[in-house]
Amino acid sequence: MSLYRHKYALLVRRELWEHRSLFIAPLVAAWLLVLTVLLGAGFSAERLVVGLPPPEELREMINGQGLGHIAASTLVGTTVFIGTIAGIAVLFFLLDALYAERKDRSILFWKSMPVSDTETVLAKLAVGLVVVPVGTVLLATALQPVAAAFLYLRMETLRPLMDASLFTGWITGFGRMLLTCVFVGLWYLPVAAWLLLASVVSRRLPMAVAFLPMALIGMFESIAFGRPYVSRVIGLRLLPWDSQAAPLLTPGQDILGVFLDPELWVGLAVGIVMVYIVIRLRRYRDDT
Amino acid sequence: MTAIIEARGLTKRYGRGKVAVAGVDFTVGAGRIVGLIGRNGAGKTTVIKSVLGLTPYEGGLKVLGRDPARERDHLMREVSFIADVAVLPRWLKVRDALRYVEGVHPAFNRERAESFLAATEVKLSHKVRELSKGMVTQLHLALVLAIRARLLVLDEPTLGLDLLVRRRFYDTLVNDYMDEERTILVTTHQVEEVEHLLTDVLFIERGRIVLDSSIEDLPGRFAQVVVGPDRLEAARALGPFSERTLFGRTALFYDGVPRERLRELGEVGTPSIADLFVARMQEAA
Repeated sequence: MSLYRHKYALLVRRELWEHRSLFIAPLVAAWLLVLTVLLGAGFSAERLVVGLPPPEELREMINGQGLGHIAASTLVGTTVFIGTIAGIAVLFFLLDALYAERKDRSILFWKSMPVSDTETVLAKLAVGLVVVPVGTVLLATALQPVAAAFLYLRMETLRPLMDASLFTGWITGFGRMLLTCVFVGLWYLPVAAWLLLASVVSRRLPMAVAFLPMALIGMFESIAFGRPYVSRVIGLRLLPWDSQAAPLLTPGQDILGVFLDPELWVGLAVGIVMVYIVIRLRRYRDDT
Repeated sequence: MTAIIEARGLTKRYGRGKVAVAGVDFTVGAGRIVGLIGRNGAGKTTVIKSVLGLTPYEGGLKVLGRDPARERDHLMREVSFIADVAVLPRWLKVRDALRYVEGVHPAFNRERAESFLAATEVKLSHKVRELSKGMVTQLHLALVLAIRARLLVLDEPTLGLDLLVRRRFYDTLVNDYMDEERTILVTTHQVEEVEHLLTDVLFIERGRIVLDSSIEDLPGRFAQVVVGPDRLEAARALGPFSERTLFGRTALFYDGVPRERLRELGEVGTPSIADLFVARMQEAA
């Protein structure tokens, strides 16, 4: 049996059939980027989201930092942009994943198949934490040659500067982004598990079940202590990109430390416990 | 007779001591079509959920020799289940439905499902939401008939469907699905719908089995006599467990009264399952 028709492949494909935004959103984001390049309108060169600074500026950057470095940064920037959009799609997907099947009563159909609750829940997690992130990196990488070809054709002044270091830049950038995928999978596991938990227990609004407790904690903290403690931890968990995970996005920095952060592993342990609870709840949740 | 389902003292308690199923014993043999018949809330669905490993229970229960609570995933390779034939995921394309089941179910034969669908109006490019209830039913049948399952469990499968669709559903099941190795357990409260298909009946009331009989054994045990007012007293003297009066004539139902004695009163027949069910429920009330 081909891999594409393997049981686990179908468990993943089934999610993409139902939640088309998981691939449409990143594709739209990618298309927007292409459009930006085509129109020649540039974003700031500082964070290097794909886009075109004026040719002279670009030349200076290449001369200063090296083409490989620029190529890697561009790949990172592209991935971050598409990844942010994809992340929002994943958020809605996870909230819906174990709720919609109960709402439309199709859960009894899914449960009539020889697929365990563990497989079901893990497949949904894998879609959010592995398939979409890796897909995002692949998509972002595929865009780089397109952008470079455009530069090559349109900006003659840049041509002499474009050499093989472009490719080495992409390759190091790609490796870095794959490592970032590993980080994303580990770091966001408790977040994804929490969203699935809200999805599996919710009777009406999974979004409210997921976010109301967070909002209440934040309000309580600001009234009782005047400072955020728990909500700060939650905030960092949602957006680690300016702190813990920052080295991943900046070419040339040490990334090993990111994976040695105890907070990563504590979160992972909490996430695994929540996943276990989610599986148990889907197994015996009885409201059909 | 190989036991496909064997329940011994099957019990299900919900919180606060509410007992949904109170220690029932029953056996479902291979090649049988068993109707689990009861009113709403009698415990039918709880029994079904236990059999399918969808809910924890107490007591002994073996399905195809396995413990459904612990071996559900394995069990579902040999058991098919339809809760409501008109419900499939609305966003699913027919083609993808076949792909999915083919991918996850080792006993699914895609050619069989496709050839079944070819005889219907359902197209592979359709989405479930574009199909009528009757067409969803046919898709569901195509999926289930193409699975080489030993046990098919149906829980109120035809609720809310029109008579034509219901009739076609059951006819297809009996004609295309059943053979001596395959077994069906069906719950319904529309008794008339299934009574001509069943080989066995289980009546359930308030979590207890109140009748467990094969259809061929029913005439040996139950009888009905219809009498006019002139003979009503004599008929009542023989101890019917229930009676029903329509247009001045009364049908009386007997359990274990020899037919020879009833013949003096009038023509003796075997009550229909529906009559029997109603009579049993009135008696229990």
